[in-house]
Amino acid sequence: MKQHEPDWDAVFNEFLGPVYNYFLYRVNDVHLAEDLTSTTFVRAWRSRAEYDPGRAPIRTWLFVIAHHVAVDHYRRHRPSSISIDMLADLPDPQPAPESLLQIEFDKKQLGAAIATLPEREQEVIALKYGAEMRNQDIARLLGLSPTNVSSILHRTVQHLRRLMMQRKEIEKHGSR
Amino acid sequence: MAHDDFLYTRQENPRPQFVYDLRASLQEEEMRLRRPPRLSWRIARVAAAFILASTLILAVSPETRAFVLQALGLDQWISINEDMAQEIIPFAVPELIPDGFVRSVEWGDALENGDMIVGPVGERIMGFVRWEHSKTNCTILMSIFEDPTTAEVRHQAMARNRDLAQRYNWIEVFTFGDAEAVWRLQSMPGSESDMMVIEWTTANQIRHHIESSTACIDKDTLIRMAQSAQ
Repeated sequence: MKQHEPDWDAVFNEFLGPVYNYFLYRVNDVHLAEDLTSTTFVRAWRSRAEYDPGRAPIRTWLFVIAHHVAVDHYRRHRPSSISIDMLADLPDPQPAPESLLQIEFDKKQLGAAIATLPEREQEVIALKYGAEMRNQDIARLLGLSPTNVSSILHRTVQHLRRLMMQRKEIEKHGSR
Repeated sequence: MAHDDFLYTRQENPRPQFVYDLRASLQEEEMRLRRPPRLSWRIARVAAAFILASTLILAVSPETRAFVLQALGLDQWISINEDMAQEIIPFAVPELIPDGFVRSVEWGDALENGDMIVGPVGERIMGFVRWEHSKTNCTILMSIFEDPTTAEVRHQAMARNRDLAQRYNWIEVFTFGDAEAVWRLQSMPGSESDMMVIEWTTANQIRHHIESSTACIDKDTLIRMAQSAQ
């Protein structure tokens, strides 16, 4: 074993969940997320001799591979995406502030809402909330500035909250 | 509750079966990547031959060898079936083969019309039986050759091997029944896997030598394999 070589068993245990959830947020499909996760780890295992701990933390190295797997997937299966500015034109129901803390959002509805985002916004949300990466690591991975990442997250989170509230309102009125 | 907590709710734990299957496939990948290079095997084989060199004496007289080679046309490596090989070198074949390994013939320019290789090595006639694992690409190689050395000479060689094992950490020696074995012979400095060898001589003076890598099979499996041929 090379000096400072990671414990690859520990890498698998620690990062399987984050990588899987990154893909789950990106593709909103369990089986596809599993396929892409497998592809990521197989590529990582085959190229682990090239990993240099002096250049990047193992997490960053692994998610670079995952990001490329996602890009390759969408190159072959390009989904339709609309501008987030168009989504912002949808009516805003403006619920009372306290109710925002009490509402539980349905997991599948959230996945469907994320799937409507443009590709870049999906990627940022998946890395932040699926893989639980820090803003600065997301910025490094995507070649953006940390400020840019914060801005994208702020706008996108606000949009998703509006979207989820709309769906809750539709459900509430529909059940009456 | 932070304003974005709801976004973490999409997370799920991966399915246990998926985790198990992926781990298994990565372990297979690990075995494939750790296959010992052939060069290190050759180096280790030379080292093993050096260690046991005191027990090896030219098997037959030049006249006998010439007769055998001429009669059988065995002046080059050929691939023949096991039954024919037994006429030349009556040897014992292991009956217990580790799971996943199958007979394979792969030997340079030798004609592939049998399941083992026989040919001349110096003044000696040798046979080789090879098993290969289809998934891990691991190999087990058995070589057989005439060995006219006496039991006393082999006992002296074994004593030398034990002495080496006491003084150096690149060799371990063990015995099973009447056979001696070199358990771990370091292939190359820093190598991730070592060569292991088990040898014995039958009553008809045929030396059997089985070798593989410590990355491919363990000591107990190698012993069971050798015992199944005795």
